[in-house]
Amino acid sequence: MIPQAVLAQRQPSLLPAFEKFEKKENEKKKKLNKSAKSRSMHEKDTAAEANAFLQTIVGSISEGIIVQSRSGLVFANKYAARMCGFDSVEEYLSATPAKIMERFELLSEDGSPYPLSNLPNRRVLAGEKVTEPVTVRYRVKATGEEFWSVIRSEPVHGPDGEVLYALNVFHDITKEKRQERLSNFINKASAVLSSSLDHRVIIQNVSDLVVPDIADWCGVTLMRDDGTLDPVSVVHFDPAKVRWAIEYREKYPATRESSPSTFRIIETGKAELYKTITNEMLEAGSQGDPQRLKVIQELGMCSAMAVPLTARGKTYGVLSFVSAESKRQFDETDLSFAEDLGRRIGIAIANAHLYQEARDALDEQFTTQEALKRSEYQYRLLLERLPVGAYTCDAEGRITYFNPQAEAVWGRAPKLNDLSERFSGAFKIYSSEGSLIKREESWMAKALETGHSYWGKETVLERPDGSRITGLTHISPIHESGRIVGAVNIFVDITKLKRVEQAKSEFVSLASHQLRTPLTAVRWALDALQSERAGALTEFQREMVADAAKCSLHMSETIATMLMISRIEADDLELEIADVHIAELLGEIHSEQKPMFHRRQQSVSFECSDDLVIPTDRKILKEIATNLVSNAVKYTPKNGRIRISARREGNHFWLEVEDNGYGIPKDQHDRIFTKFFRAQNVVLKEKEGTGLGLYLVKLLMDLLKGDISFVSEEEKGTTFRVQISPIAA
Amino acid sequence: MNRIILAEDDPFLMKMCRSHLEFEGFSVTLARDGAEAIALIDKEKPDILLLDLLMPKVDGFGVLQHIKDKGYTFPIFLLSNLSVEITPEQLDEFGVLKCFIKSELELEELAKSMRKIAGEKAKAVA
Repeated sequence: MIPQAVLAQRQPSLLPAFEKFEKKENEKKKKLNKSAKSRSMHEKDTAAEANAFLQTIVGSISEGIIVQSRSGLVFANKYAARMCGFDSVEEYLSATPAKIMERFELLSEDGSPYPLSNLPNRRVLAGEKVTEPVTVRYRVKATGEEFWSVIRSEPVHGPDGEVLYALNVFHDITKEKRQERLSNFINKASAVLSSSLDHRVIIQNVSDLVVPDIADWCGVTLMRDDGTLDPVSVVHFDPAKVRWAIEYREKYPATRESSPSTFRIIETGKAELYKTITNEMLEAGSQGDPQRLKVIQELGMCSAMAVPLTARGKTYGVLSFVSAESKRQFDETDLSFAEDLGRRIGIAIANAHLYQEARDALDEQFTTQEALKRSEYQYRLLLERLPVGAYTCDAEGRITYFNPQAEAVWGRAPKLNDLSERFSGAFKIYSSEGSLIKREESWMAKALETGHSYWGKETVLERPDGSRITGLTHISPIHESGRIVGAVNIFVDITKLKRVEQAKSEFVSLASHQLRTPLTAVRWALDALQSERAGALTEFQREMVADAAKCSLHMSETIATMLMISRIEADDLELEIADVHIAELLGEIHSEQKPMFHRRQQSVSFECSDDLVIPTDRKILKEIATNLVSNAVKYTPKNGRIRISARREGNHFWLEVEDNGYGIPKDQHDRIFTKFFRAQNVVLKEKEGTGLGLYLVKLLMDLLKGDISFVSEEEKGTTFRVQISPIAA
Repeated sequence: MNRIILAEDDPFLMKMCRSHLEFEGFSVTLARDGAEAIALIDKEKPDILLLDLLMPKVDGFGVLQHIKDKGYTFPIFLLSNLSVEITPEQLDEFGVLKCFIKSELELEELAKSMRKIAGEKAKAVA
């Protein structure tokens, strides 16, 4: 009989029925006490009835109940038979303990083997007092299913107190245990998921957790941006199998054809459960390759599930679980857990991406800020180190920065960011002509207004002590996003330079005057002598005077040429552009040179149409033409021929001076425009040349922005060709 | 119509110039500097003034300004050896007929110009 206490604990609802039955039996006993035969028969009936009643009651208990003696099972309910994998109680009761134990692997909670001797029923049968229930984990070898049970065992004593039976109640806590294990896993997984912001590390660590507690294989595949699959991780407790899996994946990369389920899960976001992996599934996965099929089959996969890794509406990849060696079969509970894990991993991946994006943006911002800071620093350093003054203004003209050199030039330190000191730090500003310039009319103000640069502007700056310096300013506005945000002015103190230029100019003027004046006196004296106003001369005297006059003329010409060259080189010659009547100009040259070519009996022709007029600098053009004609006359022997022609072709003016004189040796062609050059073939023939004429012509051509070229052959003659583009007046 | 005031500070040039012009029949009065030239002009206006630009005390421009301020009208020729020439506008402003560059000037050319102006003036008076 079942101890009432056990029944009260396990099925208290049956207690009233049992008590009623017990009462009824006691009454029957009393009535049947007198007849032994009747008693025996009654006892048999009672036993049979009691057994049936017992079976009914015990059978309805949803817990495993077995009663065992030292030789084996004597009673079991259906639940117990089912828990042990038997189809019926009879089959269960007829099996030997050894046969029964063959069906299971007994494990402790942590999965280590559980010693049979520790089972409470064995301990009770051994006479041990077992008061505490024992939790046992066992795996059905046939199906791989795992169960947890709490086992209580109570002794059933015989009349002499000996333990005859052990009454065992198995309370199945598999569901609770699985829930607990899954919860624990989720907690561990959560810790892992939040331990890193590198999604690959997260995935690897979580996969390591899954194996072997949840599955025998765990794999994660992510979808790349180009739509291909990236097998991020594969985990198995056997490293050799992991290596094999990696090689397999490299040999047979996952494609839409070979892994349709992976693509389907990513595209639909729906998990898939394969409670049992069939051979058809394996054949489909091998894509008709028998060798590949053989390899897959050897893995012994029996159950699988695959879940999407999703977060915020996006599926990043697939998390797969495969059962093989453990033979465990995944069910809906497992799938639900796996989906939850998939979502958590998806969120972790999304967070990792967000983190990376934020980090990249921060890095870029930091890099940009650092680059900006560096750039600003370098800019400041550059301005500080410049040997010239530099300052910056904002869009309103307030001075925002000035370097030490600017302060030195100004003779003061202006207030920064102050509207009363706009546009310039100087005390006062003047134009190069000396007129006072209001700050609002300064070049800096213009640059901020127009957005244009103003370079090379000469300005006179007055210091507080009244001294002035001449500066050359170079102002550039600063634009940002299409608007003017400020400007920078780099200005150079050219006071000394100006003084030097002025001194040079004064020197040239003075030199011109001081050299030319006595020469003029010499020439006039020689003229007077030659004209015999001072008295008649002897032939010899006449020759001497003539020679002296020639030398003095030569000296005059040389001085005039040198002074003009000095002026050009000192940038002291300003163009005066006006319409020049070429025929008239050539006429003047003809008149001036006539004595020379008459003396040499040369024939000189001038060809130019009367209406040829070009805008240019008359004096300079005349100087050029005079030099060329003079050279032609000088370097053409007696009775020679010189032709001067001028014409217009489109926008160009051409002047040609052609002679049939000595020519220029070919090896000296490249030097004829250099200073003091005289060709070797004429030096002995003509002593009058200065060697400066063509150098001056070249300088003057550069001023007019024209071009000069020549063709020459020794003993045949030379033609100089001048081309000038009309210059606008 | 042949009185010339020659304002020229260089003694050699002055001597040469005067000699040639007197040979040509002109009466030449010399001024060694601008101040002397102004004094002579104020005392007796010449028929022709030959004026050097670079002179001590008062330069040629100073003399021209004095003439302009006084409103004198007589032919004026400038003599210069400066590397910078006088602009046509300046010639017009002071009523200068021509500026001779001494280093390029033949005395005969100078005499020719004097004769031409003297002849024109004589005709005008007549």
